Amino acid sequence: MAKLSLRNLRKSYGDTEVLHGVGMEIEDGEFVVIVGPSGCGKSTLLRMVAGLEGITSGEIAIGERVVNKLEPAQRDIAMVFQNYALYPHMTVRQNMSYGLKIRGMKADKIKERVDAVAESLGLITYLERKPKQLSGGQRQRVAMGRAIVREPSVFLFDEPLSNLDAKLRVQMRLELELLHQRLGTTSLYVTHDQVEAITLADRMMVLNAGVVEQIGTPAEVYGHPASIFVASFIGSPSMNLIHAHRTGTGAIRVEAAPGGEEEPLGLTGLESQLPERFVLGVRPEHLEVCPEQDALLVVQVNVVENLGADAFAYGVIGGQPMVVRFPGGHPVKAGDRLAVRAAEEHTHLFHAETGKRIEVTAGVAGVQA
Amino acid sequence: MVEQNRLLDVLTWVVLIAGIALVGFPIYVTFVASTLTADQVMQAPMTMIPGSHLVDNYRIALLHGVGESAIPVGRMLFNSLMLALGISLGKISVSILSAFAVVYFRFPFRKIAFWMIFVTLMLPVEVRIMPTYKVVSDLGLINTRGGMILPIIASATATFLFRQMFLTVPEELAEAARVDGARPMQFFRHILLPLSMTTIAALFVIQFIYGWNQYLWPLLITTDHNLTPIVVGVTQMISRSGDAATAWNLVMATVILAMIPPAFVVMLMQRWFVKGLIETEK
Repeated sequence: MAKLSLRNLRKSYGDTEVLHGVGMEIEDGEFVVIVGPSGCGKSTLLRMVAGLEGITSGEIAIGERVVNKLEPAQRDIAMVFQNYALYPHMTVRQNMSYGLKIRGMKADKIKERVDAVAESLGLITYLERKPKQLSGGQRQRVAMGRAIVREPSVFLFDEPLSNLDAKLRVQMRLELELLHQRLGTTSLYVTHDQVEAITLADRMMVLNAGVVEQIGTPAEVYGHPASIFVASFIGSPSMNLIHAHRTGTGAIRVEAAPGGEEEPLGLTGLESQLPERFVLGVRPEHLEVCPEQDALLVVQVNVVENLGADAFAYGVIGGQPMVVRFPGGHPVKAGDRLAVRAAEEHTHLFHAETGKRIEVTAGVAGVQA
Repeated sequence: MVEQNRLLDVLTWVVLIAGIALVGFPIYVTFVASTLTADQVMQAPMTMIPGSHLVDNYRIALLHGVGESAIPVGRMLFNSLMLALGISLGKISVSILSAFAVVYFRFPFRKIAFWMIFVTLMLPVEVRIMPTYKVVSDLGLINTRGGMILPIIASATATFLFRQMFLTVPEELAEAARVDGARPMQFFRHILLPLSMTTIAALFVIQFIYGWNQYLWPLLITTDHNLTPIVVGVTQMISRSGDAATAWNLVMATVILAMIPPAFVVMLMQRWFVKGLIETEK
């Protein structure tokens, strides 16, 4: 086990830079998830750590050892691939033993280790089968087993659950959590699924177009998003983002989208701290109905979806779409005008141009103290 | 066709039987001739019923040989076997390694190297026979098995087939092997080679027959009768001067003997052969 340091990593293919200086210190035993949309460079980053992809500039250190120039096998890492990458002509046992055999470990010692890992993963009865004869979940387990028997300093996971169906994915996610609790090996996990990221991560890195948007615990990233991108990417359904501006007279109004009109926004007292154009972010689950004079904003409800446990009211404000979550069975219905407010810590403000978070100090009117 | 129709069934059988007869009849005539005495063969019309000299004819052909040079057919069969095995195994080893290099390594002029191999597809041996002969004779390989086999070993077709097969192997397998610590040749031996087994089998069948049937090149490069392969040997049994009579019954026995090994290889490897050509799942 060891800590993993990524220092100002850059990657270019020809003239195109795909990673623009990514850095993070990953502590010993930490489970870090890199999350981002497809094409953001997260897999490239992982493959650079694995040694499968060259490093244009920057430094990767595992423990105290800089591994930039080392072959994958010398980096003391193990990787789980998206499509498992099991050797099709080898049995499960041979698949799991191969890396140890290459390293010249004694046959009886290999057997001992493979048996122990297979036992813990429930694979003991499948050891003599070929990958073709296994189900998706079992193959996934073999791929993990192959990584575990090597007892590496760092585990690397490249979207390991994305080839599984929804139910199995949830199950394997839980198994992964248990596994990490048991082994406590430093892990770097890449996914585009924010639910996976939030549930698995000790800390997560949100990556967008080769730039780190935010690094933090899932609670920090969810509760205190550093940018509009993070706010919209993390959380489901995603955060309401309402474009607003300061008028000539200093009043704060919701901007009119096509088909809408400007409407008031209950953010009085903040005029001096806000730029001329900004974005208000509130999660659907943090909005609550209130008397109109206390309201942060008033939503025109168009559709209500009742899912049993929850109900979602879809509406517009100033022509901009908005969602509010209610507990199931709430009497809200289409056509309602809904005055809503949110607690101060759940009200996020972002720069309209840069997309960066704006920290405000004073209390917000229409917002619960 | 799933259609059930008596007339169509009959038609199908007629076409099939006609096809078999067309292909099979000359072989049958050859076989019958190989069981007769030399005089019986020369009678016109020749009988279509097998004679009684089967054992005698084949024994003479195998052990003593036929015609002016009179090389025992057993010897020629061995020469042909060496030639066919040398060519097929040589072709497979050379082309699988070049395909491995072209697919898995990044080196300068990789594309050019591949296309140069590919372009040679368009040049049959006969076209480059003069320069090849010059090279082989400069190397002192005239009248050797090496000289017969080496110039034919390079194969664009096989390289191309292996390349296509390697491209269907997921890239992650190579990466997983790298992470597992396998060196390139270990990856080749432990993973790529076992996965290529069916392709190798298919190529072996094709190349074995190709090698067995080599005529022009062995004829040019060898004058030593101890190296003559059977395909060349058969033509030498036929008397051209007209002084001596050709023992057609023995020539026919030799021809039948020459057909057996390739037929045997095809039958033995048939299942693998088909699998190797159609298999896509890796």
